[in-house]
Amino acid sequence: MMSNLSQAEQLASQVSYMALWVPGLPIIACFTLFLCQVFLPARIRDDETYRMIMKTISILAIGLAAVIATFIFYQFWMERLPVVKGSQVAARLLFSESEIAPGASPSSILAKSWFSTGAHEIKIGVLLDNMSATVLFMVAWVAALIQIFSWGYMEGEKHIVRYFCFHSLFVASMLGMVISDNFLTFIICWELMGLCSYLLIGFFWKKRSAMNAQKKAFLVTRVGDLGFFLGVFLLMGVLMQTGQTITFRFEDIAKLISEYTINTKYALYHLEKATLLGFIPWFKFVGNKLTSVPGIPMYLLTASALLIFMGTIGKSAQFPLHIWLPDAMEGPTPVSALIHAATMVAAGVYLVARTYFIFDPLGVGYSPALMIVAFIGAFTAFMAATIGVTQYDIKRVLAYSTISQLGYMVMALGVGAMGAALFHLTTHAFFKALLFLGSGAVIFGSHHIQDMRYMGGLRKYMPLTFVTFVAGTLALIGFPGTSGYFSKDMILEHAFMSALNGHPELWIVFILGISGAVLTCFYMTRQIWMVFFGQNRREQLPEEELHNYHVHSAEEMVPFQASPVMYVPLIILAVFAIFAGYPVKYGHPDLFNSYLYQPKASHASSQAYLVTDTPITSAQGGERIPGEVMSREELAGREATGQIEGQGEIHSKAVEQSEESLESLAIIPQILAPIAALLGIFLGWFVFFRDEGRRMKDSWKQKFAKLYDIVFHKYYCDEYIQEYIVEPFLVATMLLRAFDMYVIDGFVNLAANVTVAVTKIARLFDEGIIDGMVNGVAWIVDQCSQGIKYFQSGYVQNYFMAITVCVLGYIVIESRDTLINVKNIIILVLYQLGLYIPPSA
Amino acid sequence: METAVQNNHLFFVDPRFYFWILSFALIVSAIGVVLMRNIVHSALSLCLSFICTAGVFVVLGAEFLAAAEVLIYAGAVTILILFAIMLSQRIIGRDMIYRNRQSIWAMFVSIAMALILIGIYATGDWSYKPTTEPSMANNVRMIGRSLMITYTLAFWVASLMLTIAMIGSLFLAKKD
Amino acid sequence: MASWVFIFVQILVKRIYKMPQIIPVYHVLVVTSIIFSIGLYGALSRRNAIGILMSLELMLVAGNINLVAFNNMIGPQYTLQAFSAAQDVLSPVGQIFVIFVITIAACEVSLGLALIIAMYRHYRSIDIDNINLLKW
Repeated sequence: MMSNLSQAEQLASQVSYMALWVPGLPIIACFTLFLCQVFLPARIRDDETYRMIMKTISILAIGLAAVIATFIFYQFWMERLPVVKGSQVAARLLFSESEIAPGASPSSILAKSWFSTGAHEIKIGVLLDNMSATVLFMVAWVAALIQIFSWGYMEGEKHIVRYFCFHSLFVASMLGMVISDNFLTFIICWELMGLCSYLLIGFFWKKRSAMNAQKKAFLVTRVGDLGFFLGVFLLMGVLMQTGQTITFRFEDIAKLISEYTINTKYALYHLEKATLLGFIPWFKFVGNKLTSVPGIPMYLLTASALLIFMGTIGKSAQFPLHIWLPDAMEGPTPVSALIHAATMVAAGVYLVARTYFIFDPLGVGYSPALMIVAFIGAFTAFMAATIGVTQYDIKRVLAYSTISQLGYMVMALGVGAMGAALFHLTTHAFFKALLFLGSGAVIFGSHHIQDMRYMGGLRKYMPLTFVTFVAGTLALIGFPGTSGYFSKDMILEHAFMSALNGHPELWIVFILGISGAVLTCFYMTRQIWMVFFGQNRREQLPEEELHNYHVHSAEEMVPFQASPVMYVPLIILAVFAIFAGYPVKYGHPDLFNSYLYQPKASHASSQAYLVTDTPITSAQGGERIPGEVMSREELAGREATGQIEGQGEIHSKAVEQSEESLESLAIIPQILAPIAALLGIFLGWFVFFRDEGRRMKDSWKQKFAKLYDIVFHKYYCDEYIQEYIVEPFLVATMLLRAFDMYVIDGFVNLAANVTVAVTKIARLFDEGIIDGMVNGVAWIVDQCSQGIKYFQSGYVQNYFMAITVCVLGYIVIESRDTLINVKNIIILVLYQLGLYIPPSA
Repeated sequence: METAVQNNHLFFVDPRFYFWILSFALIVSAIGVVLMRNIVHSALSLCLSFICTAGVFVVLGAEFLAAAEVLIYAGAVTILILFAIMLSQRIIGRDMIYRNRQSIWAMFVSIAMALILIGIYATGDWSYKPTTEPSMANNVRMIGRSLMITYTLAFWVASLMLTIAMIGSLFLAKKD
Repeated sequence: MASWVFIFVQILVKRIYKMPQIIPVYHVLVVTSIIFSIGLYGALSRRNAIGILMSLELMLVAGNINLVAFNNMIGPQYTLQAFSAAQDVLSPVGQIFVIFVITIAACEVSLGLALIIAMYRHYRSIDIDNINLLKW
């Protein structure tokens, strides 16, 4: 059977089997560490050698996983794997086992049924397409490098084994999420990541702030997860209306959606755009007359997509639920680097990318759901950038930078650029991890000072850290030539083109994106200046805080360069951060495609056509169901050759503008983005480098004091949430507690008291009647014996008399027949004696 | 001789006559046993009843038994009873009421017993139909042969009984 | 004079020997019933323990006489071939019985008197009304 498959398919099955080892090895490491930590005695656990061995096991596991991920990525890179769904988008897929005939619709291997509940079978498997292979590669390498870094950073930490155990578990779950092909394992890994984030944020659980931060992170992401689950359930419910058997697998869902979605509202969205009050564009949904076709209405898909997006809002720290990410910096710095910069927060973006066919079922790159996504992303990007300008904790700045960049990714998803979003995800992982690890090195090197106000001039003390940090900053701000430039440029370009091509509301998105880019540069420049340039300000540490750093005076805290185990990962990441863009941009631009989603256009720029009322049969074969959207390219081709044989009217409002002219405008964002970056750098230099920020301090701060205050306090988000959401919840909790205590417990106590009363009655009954009966019997016996006892007189002759009487009685009874004749004899005797005269003489 | 007897003195050689006289004496002495207040008189009356019983045995043809009765009963048992009376009375003995409270009932019961027994006997068939008329010659020899040959075991057990009774009464009566 | 008595007794005895059933059994039974009931009355109503014993002896006497009478009635049925083939011998079954009864009565009297002596030692009296420990 193997010979039936081509070499590509064989390789595909091998690769997809290997992909199981990528999350499998860290899981094994995690379990090994866990079991050792639980079952070994404390004598062994305190040994340094034991800790070294455990650390080595963990790093070896993740290193091997990274190697395997590299190998897999290499196969994808070399395009050795088969291509399916021959559409204009070429997707790299993996075939299933060889039992599936080639050419049939592919499915993931290991698609055995995991368990079945009656009619539904739950199948799980591995799905590796371009997108997941790339993300797998990125995550594995970043995780490996961060684990090596944390070997050095967490030197002397007593609970290091616990750290590595959770770290490995997290990596395993992230990798598992990346390769999972169905909602079920996806959600399982999602939840596991949330758990590991909780555990690792609260790693220093003796600190009160860390405990609060871990609870906050978990609960806030939980709110998002609630929406996520509701979205999945709604989706399942919606799909069940089609009458087909549903599974949780993405490709089955994609297939169902593509077959059954009718755009009752959406397609005409393009065509009938109304304006509110004459100038605010708003989306007038016009219905059409498609009623006889069973299917899935768009608004339900939109609703489930938005609910699923709530998971992203929670996990990827978008606007309302971003509050947990800055507090999550209480965890160790490598944890911040891995989880809250590179991987876990990117999981939300990955989720939307994976389920993009729900957000954009028609493949046009835009939908009401995506619009909301774009707005939330853009707003988050801008807002977080503004907050990042004012923070002075080195990790807080980077945290807000992360939120801002996540906003960029989400924004990219919203404008239909799934590939750009994922590209930015990978590049952001590299440079943000680099920045966090660099900040970790800085913190480590300055004796755990984290406040930037007391740092300065560190480029003399730690040059390597400085160089890598600058490299990361350049990538972050999108300096031309770095990988960040390519990805951010792609995003802004997509936003620009989508706004240009008939979606004017996206201009806001574009403007917010550009402004966010400016602010990003500004605050990063500020950070670099405050940390690495100028005079070292550690003498300004207040006296009362000195004991936190275990020193007596500030002079003792001489900054130093960290050990190689810490700066080698920095170098590797810097290389990636700078140069990772070129292979993607100029080598394989389709590295982030997904075979589940085939957009009908490159971005949300092409108009769509609507075929209404009656099915159209085209000579190209196949019946188009009414309401299916065809892209301009498809329809254009047919128009040219007159192959449309419609029986109904075709409402089409094809935009006759040639695409080329619009495409030529794409140069504008490509110019604007670096200009924005340079503007930001200039502003930063102007403000900080020129006169050491004095101008900022003196005049601007006074002018904008109030604004600065609001921004510095993060727009009082936490306070508002605390006051308007958390407090009412607590009040409700108290009310419920009172209810529970007095009403429910009252009922329970009532039941108990009733039972006790019944018991008392039963006791009365038992004592009075039943005991009375028993005692009555005894009383009767007693009374009888009182009377009968006189038979026991004690005199032998009485007994003898009794015996005699009984014997006499017995004799009489036994011989009563005989005794009857005595009468005759007495008569005879008396007659003989003359005393009796018989009557009949 | 027989004819003389048969003709003239039939009455006085009739065993039935002597039986009635002896039985009358027996009854009288029995009444004397139960009704006499003095226990010694009662014992002597008992001795008389034993002797009358012996006479009844003779009349009925069991002369060995008569001899045994006189020897054992009128001889040993009576003496034994008299000894016991002597050993168990106070030197200055007072007369106790010789009847207890149930004597009336006892009278009724005993009269009823007698009447019932007699009534049962009255309706019985006491006819005697022998094939030949046996004689009672060699009564002693007959008894001896029976005891030693047919009823040897019972004889031996009886002797054992006597031994046991002797030991028992010794044990019961000794002072401890 | 003595010869007359001798002849008289001979005739009497011969008569008795020749005809053992000369006295009807029924008459004997009546007599013994009366004696038995007299003895019963004495056993039930005498307070003196030895008096009760004597009444008991009376009852046994009555039984003995009964047995001898029945011997005359039933004895001819027993042809004891073990020791005699002659048909004219009367089997002494009843008399053997009476011997044993007498034996047992003697044992019983001795034991009873021993008990009475023991009782006298304890109560200093042989009033049978003293023995009432089983009284309620």
